[in-house]
Amino acid sequence: MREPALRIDGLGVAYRMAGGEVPALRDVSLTLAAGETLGVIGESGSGKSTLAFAIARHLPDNARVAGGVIAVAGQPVGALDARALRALRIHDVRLVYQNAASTLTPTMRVGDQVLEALRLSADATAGRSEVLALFRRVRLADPAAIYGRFPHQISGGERQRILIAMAIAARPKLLILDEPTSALDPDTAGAILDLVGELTAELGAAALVISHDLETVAGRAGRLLILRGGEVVETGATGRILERPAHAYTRLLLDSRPERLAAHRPALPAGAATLLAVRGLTVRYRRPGWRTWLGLGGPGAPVLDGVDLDIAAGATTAIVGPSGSGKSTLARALAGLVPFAGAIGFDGRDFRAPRALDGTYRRAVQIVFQNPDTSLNPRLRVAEILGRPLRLAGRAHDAAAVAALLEAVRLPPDLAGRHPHQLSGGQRQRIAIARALATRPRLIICDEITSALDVSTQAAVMRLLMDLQARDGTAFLFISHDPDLVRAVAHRTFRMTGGRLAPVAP
Amino acid sequence: MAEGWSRLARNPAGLTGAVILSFLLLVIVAGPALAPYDPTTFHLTRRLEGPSLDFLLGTDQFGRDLLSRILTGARPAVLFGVGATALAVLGGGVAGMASGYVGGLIDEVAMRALDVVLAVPGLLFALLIVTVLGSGSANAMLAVAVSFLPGFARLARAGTLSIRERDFVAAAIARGEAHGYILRREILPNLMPPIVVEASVRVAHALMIGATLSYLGLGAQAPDSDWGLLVAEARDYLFRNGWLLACPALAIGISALGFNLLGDGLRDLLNPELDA
Repeated sequence: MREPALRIDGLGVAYRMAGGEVPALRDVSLTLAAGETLGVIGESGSGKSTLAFAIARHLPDNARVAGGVIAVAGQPVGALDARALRALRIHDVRLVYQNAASTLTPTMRVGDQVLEALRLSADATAGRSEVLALFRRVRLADPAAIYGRFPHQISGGERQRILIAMAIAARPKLLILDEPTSALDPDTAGAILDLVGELTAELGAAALVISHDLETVAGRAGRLLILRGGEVVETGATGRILERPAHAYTRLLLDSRPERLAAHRPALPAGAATLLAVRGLTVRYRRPGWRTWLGLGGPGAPVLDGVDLDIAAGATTAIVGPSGSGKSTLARALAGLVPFAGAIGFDGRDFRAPRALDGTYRRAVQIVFQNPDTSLNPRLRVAEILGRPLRLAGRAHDAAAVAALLEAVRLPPDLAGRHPHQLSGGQRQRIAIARALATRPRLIICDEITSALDVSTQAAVMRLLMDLQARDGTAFLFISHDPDLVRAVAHRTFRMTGGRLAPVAP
Repeated sequence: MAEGWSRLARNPAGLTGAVILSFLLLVIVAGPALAPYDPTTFHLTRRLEGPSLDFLLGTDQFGRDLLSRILTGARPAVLFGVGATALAVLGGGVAGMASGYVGGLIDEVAMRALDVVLAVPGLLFALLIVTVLGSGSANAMLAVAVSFLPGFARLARAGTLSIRERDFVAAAIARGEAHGYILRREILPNLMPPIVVEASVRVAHALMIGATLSYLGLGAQAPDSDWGLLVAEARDYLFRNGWLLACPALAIGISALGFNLLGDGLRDLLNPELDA
């Protein structure tokens, strides 16, 4: 009988930390046959990356394999000496890392980088033409042009294809992709996973796709393995898991998919008034150079170019668009954080500069940022982070008021004494939302607020926002790159391209 | 705070520094009381002696007890270092924060002016100031503070520039906080760790410069027992009693080491990410 490409039996891995050993994986077993694709689904802290590194024996120094066997094509990985291990990493097991931008050398042309990998792993005499053939294989448009570019000159999807090209050059038996798509937009992500499927079929290799994104992986992997807290929750054929999940956690993940959120969306209030009327909003950043340095600053190209937008009271208005299109600049301009030209109409008054935005406006319009790691002051306790805006808004700001605010975002009141780093990512983002709620705003600008969160946390945060909307009639300006999520939560959607806004038909 | 101490105890460099400095603090507070003799009493029959049971570290050219002189000299020497650094932190910190927060042309001009000051070696600059103001401990301290000020201003400005761009500051601006609050509660607490660490290293440096100025006759004046002065006076008797030079020099070195080690320890201690 042919050995499976990968067989893992009872694998346990633990990390040595200051306070003792912390288990990362417990009793993980799986088999993966050649030509098969297995999707490993897990949220942060599930041990999914540890699993990838354990297979290539690439674990950090403080990790200890507590037991179990990993065999690649029948060969136990744990017993290899340094030389055999190097051969294993070059020829048999290839890893494609999460962040293609930092995996490629920034000062070397991508074609030369692939050539280097190709010569090392497969064909010592390979030349440009072999690299171009490889580029065509990973469906890169215009291989000859890409060959001579540097990593920063190509798109994220192209970079990921380059990494895959390097990985398949050696015709490996096992391809491990660690979050290959988390930095990509959904369309590109799907295309990359399709490519992996085709290539594994062509090469007869097995693929292990590690991801937090059940949605994208489910359609492309024959089998799924759900990991939580280092343990296998459930494993089986993809279709069976999607239709009849056996474990409560799998059901939670399935319920966290954006389309399940739509049912939760409050109905658009009939005849909703316009809360914010934005007219001709234009933002230019000053170009760095001699003139700016001398204070003569000629304005640069507009990042926002005459944006008109009506934000309805009590509803969710969504803005989608590619990165760099000006979505976040719009958010920051409306929050009064960048200088703008044009007018923001609010309560029958027109504001024409950030300086003009008075306390009434600033209390009514609040902003929540993408990354709660940087949006909460690491030196302040939750009690002050929430108490200060309460006080600024002229409301009671004692412990009871802070506790009430924590309760509004469904957090226990005893978190008030903690510092941000003692909270989980989801808790931190709830604190950021609670801080925005402190002034009883009528509009909350949400700038990619869930993109740093796990899927189930994202769903919980979105449900919370929709409940707040139903209860208080708060309007949201929801900025996101995730079309599925936007479709589920928004009442009206606009697309931003090159600093201009266009409505998207519902 | 209790948690802070236990973390310091796990940090070998920081703990060693803390032990040295605790000992130094004891000498500063109780030094004159612990001294076996009056540091200015002449024992004319027993001049320039090496260590003995009567005089544990020996005597100088007038027969004064060296141990007593070092114990009483700790207070002026260390206070000089701490005082000069505190002045520099205060002046440089405020200037740097303001410059970084305001930004633009003002920031640019202020920083270029500081660059000019930084281009002059610290000791040389201090010498220049003392020469203009006249010698004496207070003027020397001021001179060292002024020569340290640009370094702290740079540090505070760099920190302010990066913290100013963080989202929690944006959130404070968006809800309409006053500049004073943003500087005091949002920026300053995040600025403190690098400044405290730099200051602890600088105290050691100031101690040395203070000693140098005294040695050159520009700082503390005889018959004070300042450590730098002790080294300066010992120069003439180097070959007749080496202890006169070695002991105060060692005292300066160990104190500097203590501040340096504590600085290393504080760097880890003040990093919130290293919290368990």
